[in-house]
Amino acid sequence: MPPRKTQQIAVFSVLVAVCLAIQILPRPLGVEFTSFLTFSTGIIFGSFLGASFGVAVMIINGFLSPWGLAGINLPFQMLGMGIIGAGGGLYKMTNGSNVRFFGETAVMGAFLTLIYYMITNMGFAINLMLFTQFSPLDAIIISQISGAFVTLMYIISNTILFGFGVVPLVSAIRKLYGGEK
Amino acid sequence: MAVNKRTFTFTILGLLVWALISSLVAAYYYNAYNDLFQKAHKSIIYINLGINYGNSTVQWFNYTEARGGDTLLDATITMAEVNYTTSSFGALINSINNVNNTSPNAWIWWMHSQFGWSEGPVACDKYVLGDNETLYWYYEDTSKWPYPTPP
Repeated sequence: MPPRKTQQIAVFSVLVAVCLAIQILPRPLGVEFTSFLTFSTGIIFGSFLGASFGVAVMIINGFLSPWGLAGINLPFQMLGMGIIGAGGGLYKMTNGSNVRFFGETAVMGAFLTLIYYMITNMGFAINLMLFTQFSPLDAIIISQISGAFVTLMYIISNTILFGFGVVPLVSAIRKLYGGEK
Repeated sequence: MAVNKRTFTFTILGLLVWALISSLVAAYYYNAYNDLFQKAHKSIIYINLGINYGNSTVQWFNYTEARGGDTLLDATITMAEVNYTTSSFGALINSINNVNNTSPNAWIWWMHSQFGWSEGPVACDKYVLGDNETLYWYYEDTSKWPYPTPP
């Protein structure tokens, strides 16, 4: 049996690779799996590694994404995904009933997705400030409003994904090696 | 009936998300409605459309008539031979007047405002034209980001 630390590194690396592969593959508009995997990683490995996972995936994705370079949005994407990973660690698993737990992860999915998109929309606001003459406040309001529909689509898909996916995924990986004590 | 503190916290969190996103989406639709109403309330509008073939050849269609509610794709089709494919993202222009997208060069559309040129925010078949707008098709190198603005 390999040492526990080695198992953790292996599982963490596999999760990073899976996340990047899914990120690059074509998928329907309004659906993404990165925040789901980042949040789950946060629950399993704790806040620090969860946040590191989110930041690392977004850095790599920022350069390799088929949509092109993330540009000025990259630091905002890293921050947003880092918060999702840290949020997973802070949340952790409790011994509550499964029904409540499923509901809680769904709410966490909606809340963290909203936070993520509000942060990344700030990147768009900076673009607006740089390339137009909008005041900072106007640029922030415009960027939040114009991104609202996309944010809504991701909130809906992540609420479902977090609600139904986090518990089975975390349980499966914890059975594999145990996770953070 | 006593409500569990944890359940209460998550209910409040859920309601907060709902309130915030509902407000943002309401503002989005209010804005979109006002924008569309401003653009489409006239039956006839006039636009300026430029087509830059990337080899210093630029064709301008100045003060050209279009119907209120027409999209950029509708207007372009009336002025040039256009080949396009549609997807869930909207129409993708394959060629204008037989100048085909050839990687890394592609047809990108731009709009002019008081702030200068800005890249089209949506696909050309999703953009409803406004009166007196100046739009521009630019056959350009898309391997660099941000894309070069029209000359």
